[in-house]
Amino acid sequence: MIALPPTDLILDTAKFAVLPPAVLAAGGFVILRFAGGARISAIASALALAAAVGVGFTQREVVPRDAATGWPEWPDQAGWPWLTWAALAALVAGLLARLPRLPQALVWLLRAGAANLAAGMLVSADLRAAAWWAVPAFAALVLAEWALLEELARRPSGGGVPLGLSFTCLAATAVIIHAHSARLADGATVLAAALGGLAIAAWLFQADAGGAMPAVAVLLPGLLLNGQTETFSEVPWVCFVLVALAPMVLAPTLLPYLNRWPALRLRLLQLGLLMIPLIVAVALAMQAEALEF
Amino acid sequence: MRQLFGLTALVLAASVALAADGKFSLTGENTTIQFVGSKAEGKHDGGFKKITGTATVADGDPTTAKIELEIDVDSIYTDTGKLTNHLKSPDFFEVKKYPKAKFVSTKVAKSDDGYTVTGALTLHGKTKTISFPAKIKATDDGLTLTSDFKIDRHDFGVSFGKGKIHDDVALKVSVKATK
Repeated sequence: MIALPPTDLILDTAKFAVLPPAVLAAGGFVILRFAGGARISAIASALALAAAVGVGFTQREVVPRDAATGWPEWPDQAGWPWLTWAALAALVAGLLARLPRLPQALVWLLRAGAANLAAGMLVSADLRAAAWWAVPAFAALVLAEWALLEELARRPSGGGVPLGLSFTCLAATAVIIHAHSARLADGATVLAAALGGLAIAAWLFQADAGGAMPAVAVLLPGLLLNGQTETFSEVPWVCFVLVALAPMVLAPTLLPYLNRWPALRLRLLQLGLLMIPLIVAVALAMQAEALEF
Repeated sequence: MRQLFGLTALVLAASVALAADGKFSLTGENTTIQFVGSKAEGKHDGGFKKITGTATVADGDPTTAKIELEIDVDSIYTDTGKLTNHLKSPDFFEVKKYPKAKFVSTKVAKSDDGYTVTGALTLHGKTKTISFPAKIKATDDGLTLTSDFKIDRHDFGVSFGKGKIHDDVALKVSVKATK
């Protein structure tokens, strides 16, 4: 029997972790898109996601704050407190990489720089000591997902990729909550909601939401990495890896044969492929740990 | 002869002085630290199992006491299994980042109800001076200390759930140490 959370907890989550980020992301994108036109879709998606996640993370205490002043606290150690800053750095790098006539080499340099910075911020000292490869592996994953998701969001444009990522983040919520961190699970919920809002807005305009992808490429594996390394539970590490790597299953859909499919059929295929690792991960997590409310 | 007598007296006096300085080893066997955390729907009890430290008292006078305690935060226990792991997570104590808590006393002063112990508490990577009332009894062979007091978890950055989980955490400390 699956233990469901109490109604007041569900309402609280909806009120603070779902609705505000979803509305901010959708509304922000729509307003910016109306104001700037199609050419600023990428910027609009980046800014809308940044606003939604910023507000949501602050509300749900994913951004540590000084108890006396209420202002965000500058983190003193690598790990989850750096999530917001790492995502922001990636968004900025992503927008710079979209400058017109920028050489491809510089584009990749900006991405690689931001991915390395994120890895430095988010991989804890303990993990680095235990596994020398943790930082480069995390950076490589961020870089790969960043490049893949930006490309997928473009071909074809619309709400398909943000929607699929929203489901991915919901799976991340399920895995992390079974590992007993409500804070990090809320972070994943905020991201899921923001992407859901962005999906609706991008679908309305058939717009490229790729500007938001650098933040997702950092936040999704960042939340899962810290959700696994900083918690105490029986949830197998493979659950965290499956969800973190899930977007990579979409890579084959960039192949010319599949990419020329009609948009709806392609998106359904992508969603279907994505669900496989997500369902496995969540099922394993639920099997390993029961939830108590 | 007189010199020998003087030397003997000096040695005897030194021995008495040393014996009057009581140094007690504090462990999870003779020291308990328990807490109660509350929220609107109820409360949860817990504590820490692994404690190490020392308490030194001169001439059986509690106002001379010096207490140093180190708590292994990973040894936390509660009345609910899942809650224990939740408290260890990034939501609360972040045990993987901050595995130890420490208390070092700086002053013990006589008060109307017993004594007031002042010292630096380091918890979750943050250090704050706290003062709490305590009943202390010290002899050459034994030291007992009991105290009930509260701390504000936000002072130590344990802030998750503000508005839902009460800010104050009740602590109960008990020491029954012998040489």
